[in-house]
Amino acid sequence: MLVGLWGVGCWAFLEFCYPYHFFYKEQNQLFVFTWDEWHRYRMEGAGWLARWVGDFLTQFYYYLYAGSLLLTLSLLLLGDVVRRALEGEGVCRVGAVATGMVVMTLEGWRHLWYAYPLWCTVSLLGYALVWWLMTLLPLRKRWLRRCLLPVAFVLAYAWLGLPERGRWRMPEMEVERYLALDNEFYFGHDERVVELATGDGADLAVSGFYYNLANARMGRLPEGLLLKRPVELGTLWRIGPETPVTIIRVMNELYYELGDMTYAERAAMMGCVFTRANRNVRMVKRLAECNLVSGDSAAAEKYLRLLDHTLAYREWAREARRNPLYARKRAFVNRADTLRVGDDARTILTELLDSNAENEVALDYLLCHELVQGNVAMFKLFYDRYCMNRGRPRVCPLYQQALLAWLASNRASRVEMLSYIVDEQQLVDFNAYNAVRGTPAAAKWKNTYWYYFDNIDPPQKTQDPPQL
Amino acid sequence: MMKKYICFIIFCAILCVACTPHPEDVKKSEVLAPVYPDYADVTIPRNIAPLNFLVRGDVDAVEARVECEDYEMVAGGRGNEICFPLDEWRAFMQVATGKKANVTVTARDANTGVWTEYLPFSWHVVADEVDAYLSYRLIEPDYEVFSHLEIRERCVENFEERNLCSYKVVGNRCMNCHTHSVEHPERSMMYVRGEGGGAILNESGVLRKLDIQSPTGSSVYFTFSPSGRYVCFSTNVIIPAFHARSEKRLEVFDAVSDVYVYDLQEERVISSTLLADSMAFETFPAFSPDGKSIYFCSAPRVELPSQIKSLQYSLCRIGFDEGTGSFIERVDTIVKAEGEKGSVCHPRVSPDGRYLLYTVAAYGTFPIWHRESDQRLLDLQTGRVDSLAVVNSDMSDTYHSWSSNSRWFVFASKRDDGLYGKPYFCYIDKHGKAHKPFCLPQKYPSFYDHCLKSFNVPDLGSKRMNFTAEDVAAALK
Repeated sequence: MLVGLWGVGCWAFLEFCYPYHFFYKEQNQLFVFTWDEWHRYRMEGAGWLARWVGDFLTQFYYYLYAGSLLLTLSLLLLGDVVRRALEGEGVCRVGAVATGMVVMTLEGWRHLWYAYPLWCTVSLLGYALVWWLMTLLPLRKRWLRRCLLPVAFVLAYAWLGLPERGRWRMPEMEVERYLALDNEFYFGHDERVVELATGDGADLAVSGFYYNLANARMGRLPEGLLLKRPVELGTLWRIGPETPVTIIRVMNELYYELGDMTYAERAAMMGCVFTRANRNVRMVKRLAECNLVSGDSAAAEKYLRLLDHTLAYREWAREARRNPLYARKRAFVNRADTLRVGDDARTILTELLDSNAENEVALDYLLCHELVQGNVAMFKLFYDRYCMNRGRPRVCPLYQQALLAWLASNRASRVEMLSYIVDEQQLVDFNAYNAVRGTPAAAKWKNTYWYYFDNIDPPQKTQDPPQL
Repeated sequence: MMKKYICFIIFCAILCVACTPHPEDVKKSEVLAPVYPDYADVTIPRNIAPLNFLVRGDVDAVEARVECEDYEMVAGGRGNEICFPLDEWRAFMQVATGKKANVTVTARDANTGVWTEYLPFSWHVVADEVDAYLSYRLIEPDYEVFSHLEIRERCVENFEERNLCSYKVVGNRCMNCHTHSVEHPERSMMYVRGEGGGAILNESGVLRKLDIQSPTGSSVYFTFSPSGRYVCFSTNVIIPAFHARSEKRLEVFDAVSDVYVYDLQEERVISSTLLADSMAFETFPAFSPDGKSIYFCSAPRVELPSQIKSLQYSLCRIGFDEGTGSFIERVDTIVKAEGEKGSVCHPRVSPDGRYLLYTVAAYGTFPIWHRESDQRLLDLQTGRVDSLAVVNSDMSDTYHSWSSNSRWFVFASKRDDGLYGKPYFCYIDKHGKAHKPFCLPQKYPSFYDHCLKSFNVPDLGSKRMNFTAEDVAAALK
């Protein structure tokens, strides 16, 4: 009864409070179900079997509810085998059950750390099984069994290895909220991302980045830009050998949405490099996508073939080969034949727009990048180049406000003013704002670009998201 | 009790044999089997490990018959992989040496159950053996970053592989360029970078850490002199850069590069103004087998990265006197960049001194990421250049290393996917004719499909290195 309650409680906590940790753990490996992979595990040395079984089970974290269920069952099994082993050693039932529950709890606690792998629990379970089986041996002399037990453990070490020490820590709710944002974006739930970024995850350093990226994917970047502070576009982040993995992962998402497949592929590759065993299924998917978009079918096939041999992603790989989305996205890739030593956002975005004027995500990022830095002159220059000169004015309140500010400060003629400003309400609001500018009453206009320009320092790179 | 076990084992064995599918009602096809790696019509040395391969497509059973005169070897079963038992393979290679073996592949369609026999292909087995040991670095194809690096040594006669250097024992640091001395097979050198790192010189298993420093930095590319006393090396200040176009990906160029010689005996650097010209980039040095000259690549300095496409290296040669340890101050240009209409990289002279193998890319000094980069074979006796059409692919082919008998060379090719380099072996017969290369065989043919590491700078050695990764860690302390 008590154990049952423990199981239900454990499952409920993991399922309802900690679900995104499972997605992270599942994505942070690549389990290929083939003989050569079995061989690769064997070559890894001590603990290969526990690793193989642990990673095999971890791949099912991909499915909803599977992670919490699998982990709860593993912990219950561990506790039960420990109980049986203790009873075999002559410990009373109550003592054995209590000890089993303590073991389950301590082991479950270690799983609260995002990096603690399931194979460690499998390894412990293996040792507990060895112990229990030894108690079943029909040996008359107990001392003989006690002597044989260490020998059995030593023999089992080759298969089970030494579980990682792990960390006992309180639930990582900040990491969970970060993973919620990251995964909801990955699943394509943009409205949910916006909801999380302005609600439960609003205080997270990275929430602004996901908020803006989700808005950009929905074509609403300028509309939402100033509604969430501090404004974080991610365009000031750089990728290099010292960059935290979390930034590398978010940059991969940004570059992919923008259409820069060189940098998206580079970030995905780096995401793989800095993963345990250098294999990350989410990054492998992204590598396949990058090459499908850029039309490099041989490279894409390399990754799709890998995914063909996974249990969870084989269907995705099959679908990806015939998904027309990638061919459509190909129209937006960078066609400039230049060489970049750095990853200057302005250069990347202008090259993307020079390659395809219809790349609205890149256009909004370029214009918003200049605006959040207070570069209204550069904003106007790019607006002219990519909107006005191409006969494709991008009309939205944010851009209208910025244009109005620039035109007013440059004493533009009424004709020129009217060629840009089509929303007459902005003219009215601009006059009203100027009447109270610099006074506390201006706060009424806090969601306008005029207020932002007057009151907020151009943003620097904000603090990094949780380091994984 | 024992009888029961034996009966059970026999029953299982019979079940396995009975369940092994064999071709029946075979349909003949007029095309070659879609085998991977591409082992069709390749020339192989008699000491190579079994050429295990798989058949692409929706296939659920396969069989391969390898025939040479009256000898036949059959392998196959469920799935799409053909793996030959090592003992049987060796016996077959004894018979097939100097002859042509025919390989007939039959595969069963997983959907229709129909067996198809494809057009047979051949394996030319030659008596000239390839050096048995191959070292390489395993790294993701992104040279800007690394994690969990290993330099491995593989015996190409079987599937044994071990670490020569590993992140597990030296920490997560950069390591590269394990290079054998052809003349002294028990000598080699590699770099382990980072704090406390340096060049690790191996002499018959005794490891020594060298601090090879020149006026322009530490060493990068190197080869041994035939006497073993000297190492010629380049110093390169390497700058990684990225192409905007996704298909071109990575570019690497040097901000500074010069060539020097290091005297291992006296531990001193020997320099020449001709090889450390501030108006030129010099790189990829390689001793000639007689030790009398050093081949290297040189390009006039251009503004980088803006003029990267004008960065064209020529193949040059400078004399060297091993007796006095000094340069002969005259540089000859052997292959001009203008003549090749490209940039020459990575010269390597065959141990018999007859041939010089080099790579030509459209520009620059990092051919591994240039799809157009191909190898060329220069006959040093006749001056004739072979474009190696049968060897090169439409992806990058570069970083070659000769076998000690000058009949084989290994090189890194990205021909499969354009991303991941794999070692390919090419045979040069006594007439100087190059034969179709083959990929390093693996125990499980799907290995390359699932491997996310590039085989970087493959290098052949005739003897097993008698040191371990733990020895390297000890040498670094």
